[in-house]
Amino acid sequence: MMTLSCPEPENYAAIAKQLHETALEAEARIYELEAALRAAANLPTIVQTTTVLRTGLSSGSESLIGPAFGSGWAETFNNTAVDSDEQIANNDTIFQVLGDGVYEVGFTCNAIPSGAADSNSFRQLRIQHYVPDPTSSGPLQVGMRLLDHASYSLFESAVGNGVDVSLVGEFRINAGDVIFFTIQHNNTSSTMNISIGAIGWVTKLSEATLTAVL
Amino acid sequence: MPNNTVNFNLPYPAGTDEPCDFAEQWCDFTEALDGVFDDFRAVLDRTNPVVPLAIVHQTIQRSVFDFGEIPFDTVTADTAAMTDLDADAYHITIKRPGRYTVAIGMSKPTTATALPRFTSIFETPGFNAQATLLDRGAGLEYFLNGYRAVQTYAAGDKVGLSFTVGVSAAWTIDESWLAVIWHSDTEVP
Repeated sequence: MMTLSCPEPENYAAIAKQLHETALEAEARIYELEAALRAAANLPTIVQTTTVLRTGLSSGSESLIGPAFGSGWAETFNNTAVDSDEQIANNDTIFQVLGDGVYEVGFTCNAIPSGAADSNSFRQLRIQHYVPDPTSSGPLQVGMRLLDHASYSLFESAVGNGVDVSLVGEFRINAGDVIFFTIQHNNTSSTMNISIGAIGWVTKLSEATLTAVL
Repeated sequence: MPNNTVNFNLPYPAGTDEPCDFAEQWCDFTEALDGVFDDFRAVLDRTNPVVPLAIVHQTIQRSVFDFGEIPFDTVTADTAAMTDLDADAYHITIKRPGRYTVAIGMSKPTTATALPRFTSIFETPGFNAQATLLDRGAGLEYFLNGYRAVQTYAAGDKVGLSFTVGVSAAWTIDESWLAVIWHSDTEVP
């Protein structure tokens, strides 16, 4: 028995309507795929670069550095919905906008004594991940609790060339958490400067709570 | 008999087909197109919004023998069942074959002025990566940070972390972390 009807002239309009519906359905699938492709090819990333010499970092205590502690800075790259005037460090706005997830956070700078360099004095650069906690009093930020960090220790000989420090950490960050870039040193003969051109960046690598397709 | 496109095998009517075959041919075409979309989506779902990764931490101070592996106690993130610290506290196990980046951090108090180095070792199948800093004595917590560019792993490969200060003895490791994050597939586009 014939189950499929053949198009007759009175069905032509229906065929056109069906093709229209199919075209709309195909476009919806393509639109969805395009959005997913753009998301996969453009991981949310913010890169910022300092434009002013950071000066006066005393020995023996931890100092906040990077965009934009006492420095001017410029946005080198930003493909996110975060406003271009939002600094990536010391700012809970960043991850409010980018949301929960696993992030790569990095910082690179040149730390150089403003005067005499003490032989083999240390430089410690840290990327610190804090979470809001009203009951916490520090150690660095009141009302926040240190959850995680990536840190690196270096030493400078007495030649005064400074040290170039690059540091990368992988963090599980939730909305409202805060990242800090810090340095501590024991160069007691002079304060420390951070040269123009220090770079900090944040890239969202993945959601943290979903299960990956294998 | 319908024809088919070369790349995705999408059917389309031939000039000799009967008009009454159109409905079936059109359904065949939309079904085939749906299949192509599903395949594309499956590829994209491998990269976004989640990829295989695991981050583990050692949060409890440990005494570990030189060249010994670090036992981790906390899973910070795991999107692909790559960790089971109860069964294996020392490793992240690869589940999806591919290329991965590995990052680590370790910290320890000074060993002694006579022991000049602190080296972390990312233990991975086929090749270990290392990062080293000098240990110049007391008054400082030594932080060592390392990052390894993409490395190919097979399913079942295990990634761990050890260290050496160059002297066979047990040493205090205050804390450490290990992150293994999928970077890409290995096929040539």
